[in-house]
Amino acid sequence: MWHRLDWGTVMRWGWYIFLLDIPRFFIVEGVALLYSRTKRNRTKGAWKSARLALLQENPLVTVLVPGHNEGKHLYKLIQSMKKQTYKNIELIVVDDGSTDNTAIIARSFERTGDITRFISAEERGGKASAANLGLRYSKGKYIVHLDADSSLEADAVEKILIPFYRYKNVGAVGGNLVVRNQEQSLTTTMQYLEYLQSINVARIVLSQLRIYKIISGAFGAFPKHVLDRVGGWDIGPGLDGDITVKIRKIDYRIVFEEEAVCRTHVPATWKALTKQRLRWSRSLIRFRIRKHRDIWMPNKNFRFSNFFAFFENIFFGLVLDALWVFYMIKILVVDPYFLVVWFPFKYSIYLLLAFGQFFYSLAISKNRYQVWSKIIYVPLYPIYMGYYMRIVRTIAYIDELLFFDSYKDTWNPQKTSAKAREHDM
Amino acid sequence: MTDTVIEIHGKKVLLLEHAIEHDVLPDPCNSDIWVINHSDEWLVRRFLRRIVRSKNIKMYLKPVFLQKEFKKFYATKDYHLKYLSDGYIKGLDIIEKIPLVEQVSSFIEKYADKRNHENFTENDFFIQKTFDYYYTRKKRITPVLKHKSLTGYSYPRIETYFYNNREAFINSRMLLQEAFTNNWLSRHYVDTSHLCHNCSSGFLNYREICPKCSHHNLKASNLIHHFRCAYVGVEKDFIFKDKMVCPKCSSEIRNVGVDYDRPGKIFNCKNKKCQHEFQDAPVGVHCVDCETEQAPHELVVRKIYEYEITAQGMQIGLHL
Repeated sequence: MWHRLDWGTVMRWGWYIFLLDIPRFFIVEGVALLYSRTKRNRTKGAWKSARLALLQENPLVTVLVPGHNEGKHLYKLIQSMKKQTYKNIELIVVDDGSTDNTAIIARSFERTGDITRFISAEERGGKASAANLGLRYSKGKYIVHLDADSSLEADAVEKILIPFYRYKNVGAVGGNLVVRNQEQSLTTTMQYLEYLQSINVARIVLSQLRIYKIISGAFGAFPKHVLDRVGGWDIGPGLDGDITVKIRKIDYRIVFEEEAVCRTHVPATWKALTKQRLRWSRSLIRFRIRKHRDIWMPNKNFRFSNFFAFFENIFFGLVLDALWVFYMIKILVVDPYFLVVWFPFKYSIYLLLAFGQFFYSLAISKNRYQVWSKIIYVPLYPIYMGYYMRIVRTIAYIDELLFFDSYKDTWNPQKTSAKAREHDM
Repeated sequence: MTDTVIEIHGKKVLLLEHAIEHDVLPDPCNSDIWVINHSDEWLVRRFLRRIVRSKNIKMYLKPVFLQKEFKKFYATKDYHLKYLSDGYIKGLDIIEKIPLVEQVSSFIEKYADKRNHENFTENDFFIQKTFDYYYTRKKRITPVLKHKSLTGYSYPRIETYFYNNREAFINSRMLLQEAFTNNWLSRHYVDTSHLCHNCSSGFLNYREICPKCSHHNLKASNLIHHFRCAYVGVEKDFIFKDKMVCPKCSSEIRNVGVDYDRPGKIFNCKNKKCQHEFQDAPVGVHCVDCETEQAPHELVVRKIYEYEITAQGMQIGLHL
């Protein structure tokens, strides 16, 4: 009944830990992070002159905020706009068929000039249509897409624009997201840790490897001509990942800018979080496997970086989750008592990994004290990521693969989902 | 040449024709009732106004009637002759009017000497005159709809005291307001009107204007949301030859509710220098009379009342 753990057993049941998880999440991440930090340090001069080029040109920038029933967040949003170090901003708020008093609130801000333009669609059409409507009336050279409930650091708009002047051929810049309501509940605290790792650290790495592929809808910047060329946003859920892929496909570079910080509101209950993640995970199937399946095809439009970006995404999402389910079932069937030793062992390994990642986050964080104060939650992190997230993801994948549930999501109005399904988008 | 006096039911009835033609007021003592015997609307009005404006109590209280037979000649203009006289009679049938005639003559007998105080201001005189008339006629001071009035409503008799439109409007309202505050008149609500804040005219033109440049030549267009590709734009974006084609995905759109819907509207300012696009068009008000441009909230809100002499008013009026 009791097992002795020798290397043979460990490798037989947990080879993926040592061959995949640790190399990817600890070694590759560490090396890439170190490389990116030193490179950034070495090229300080180039960043400085990119900033000067931006300030010299001083282009009009549209901050585009599409939303549904978001009136209550507008005051704070306007305050955070007023504090921006970058001043040549037009603020466009689009109301997607709100049923509360959003229109009244926004109209009064439009009259006082705090909102440059408020456009209201009385019939709800979904987030993509609201964003496109805003895009249609944007005058800026760059469009910064923002969620109404997120708040920007004072230099965020300036920082997110600099990469356009630092690198050539940049089609989109993703901003860094930090959880704003991390003290609200255990759910939000865990997400705070998750965002530190999966957004802050991981996206620096993905951007460095040039396989970064989701500009979060909460905070991203695009040149207007690029958005016009790809026709703006398509029907979601997952429209932010979708538009990034569309921009990648026409050979633009996607960059993550860790210094452009946006503080965002995350779901405070497990139920709300589960709902959100089911939606996000379904879009992996819908967009990576269905809509953009041509990424996988070795035809004339084939790009290795796009293929690799998708491969990494699908492999570490879908394939490893399937593997995980397979091994769970196998253990339960073959030798359930083995779990008694195997579970603590695996937990300890992942705990070490979690601490490793935590220290990476700590190393690059600007607010070390706040990050440090969350160290007592790290022991929960392997459970949160390894079990909770994995189960949610797996359910979403199966659901979407078999039942196309993203097309039934009330996040979009039915009239648009029906068309998306009909045209396989 | 003078007008004929005939006797009916023991009352001397003066048939006015020559006096109207030549704009002379006959001696009020020579007859009891005056009947207008002339069909020219403008001349009749000129004559009636002289009576109303007269300072002589025997003149301004004189029972004056129009003839039903001439009514059709008086209908073309907005003169309200009926309100400047005691109304119509048919075929010189004055029998019903005899009580009024007697009442008026006994009132004049009793009070004629008390009128024409030397220390009366013009305003006091107007009040007294108004009281005398409406008291003897047992009528209310009723506003009538009038096209030519600044506000659309008029108190024809009182406004006749004054010589131009604007003065008539302001002074008549002041006079009534003063009498009401002194509790000589009570009032009943009739209507509310919005007037130009500059000239009190009610002849206003309301139209949507551009919030940026206040220009009022606007074009409204529908927004169209194409469901399939989530493109949203104005109708113009979709027009391709004689079809509706989505500019984003190039597919033809056909059925509203299935392919697309219209989630809202956008205005386009046609001022070439402005060309602002917006949804919330404020209303601008243009006064036709003085050409003042104003916002609806700047308009003067006036209530229109009908007035009636109070018991206190009677006390004062009879003992002026």
